[in-house]
Amino acid sequence: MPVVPSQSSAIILATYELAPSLASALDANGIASIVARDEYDALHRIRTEGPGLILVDLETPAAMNALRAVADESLAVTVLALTPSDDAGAILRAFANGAHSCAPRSCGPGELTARVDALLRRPSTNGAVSPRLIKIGDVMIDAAARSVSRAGQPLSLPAARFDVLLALARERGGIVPHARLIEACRWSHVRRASLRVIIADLRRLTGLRIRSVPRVGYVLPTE
Amino acid sequence: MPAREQAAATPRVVVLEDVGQGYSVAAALATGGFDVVVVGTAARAWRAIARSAPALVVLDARTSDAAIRLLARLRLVESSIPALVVCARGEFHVVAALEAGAADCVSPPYVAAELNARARALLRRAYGPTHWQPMPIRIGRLVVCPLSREASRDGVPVRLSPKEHGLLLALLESPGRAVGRRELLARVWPERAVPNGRTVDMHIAWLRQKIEVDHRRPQIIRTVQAVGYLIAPPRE
Repeated sequence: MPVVPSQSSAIILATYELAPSLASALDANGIASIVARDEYDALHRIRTEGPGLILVDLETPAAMNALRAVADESLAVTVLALTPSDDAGAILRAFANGAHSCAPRSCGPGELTARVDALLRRPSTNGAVSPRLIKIGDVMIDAAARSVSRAGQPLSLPAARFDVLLALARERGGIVPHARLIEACRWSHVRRASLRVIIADLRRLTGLRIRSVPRVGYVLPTE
Repeated sequence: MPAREQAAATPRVVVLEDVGQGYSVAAALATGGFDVVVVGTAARAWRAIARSAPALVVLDARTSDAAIRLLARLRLVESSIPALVVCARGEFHVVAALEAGAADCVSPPYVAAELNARARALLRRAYGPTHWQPMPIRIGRLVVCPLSREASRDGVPVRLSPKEHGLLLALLESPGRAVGRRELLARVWPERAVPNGRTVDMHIAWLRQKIEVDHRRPQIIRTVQAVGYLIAPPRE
């Protein structure tokens, strides 16, 4: 049975220096918080305790993995990423990996509280940051189960091929740069030269018309 | 869990900004593929919201508090349209906008990509993870798709290289402003250690050959002597 998210509890995944101040700001706002030991502890608590919010400090080593796991499993939790000030690259990576909003790591308790209030007063349509099931024509992708089927028949895709397909499906209609596709392959090491082979395999296996944008990346058209 | 059908709509965004100061917010959103309706006053914004039922409202609160008053008015009528506020730098301004009912805030310095990412995150949160069709940008007879790098002139496809497309978008983000060669180099060639303004000039020349009717008398990309290049702002 799915856990119902509680708007009055939060998980904090942050460095030892930042976590206490985040916890006290949330506590002062009536939100009970727990500091997770690592990303596995954070994800386990989201699955079992159903907090309404997770604060993810991008300075923690596995912050991006945690964001991607929340998106892949379609976990019903609101994600606020804390990014280094004025680091546009980090902010864009956080949003690309499913964060609902970003705040600077250096923000004061007043701004943090206001941002958390704004996030929680507008509950999302389903709580999920991205769909768990994505249907494109006769191809069905289950992000959490890491499975793909075509016309109801399961396809056996190696990890890197699945990750590339999922990244393209999540950003349909837009160019997904080579670097982001490589970054999306979190279970295997992929080089840029291998991407062409991976895309060719995906075109053959799924029948999807993945378009190459020379020297930039790939697009999965919306129609 | 039911699979979501991948609807392909273009989200309409009403932008309130001081058009006398330029179109920085609206232009940045246009390069993100949004269908942008830009207005210069809160009264016009109110009418545009009532008329066009936008998916998102983006309010520039950097130069006046009209945006915050409009936000409060929207919340008074319990409008559920999410609002993204561009506010002045500083915790006071961010907190004021969020407490007035903004769903998210961004303060300078920000890049167009961040503004677009925040807008998309708000749409995803408010309406679910729906895929949408990016709105092409029209500049006279030229049509450019900001996300997929497709372009056409008079309906004839034009093949733009990644750098040419990057240059065009960098200029489109600041219509009416002369963008310097160094800024264009930093935007489009971030990997380049030794900047060379001639690189920009060469690529602009190639771009003009593809998009201008007469590349010797350019109407879209104009040269600003000793500075760089500009694209004329849209007419109201």
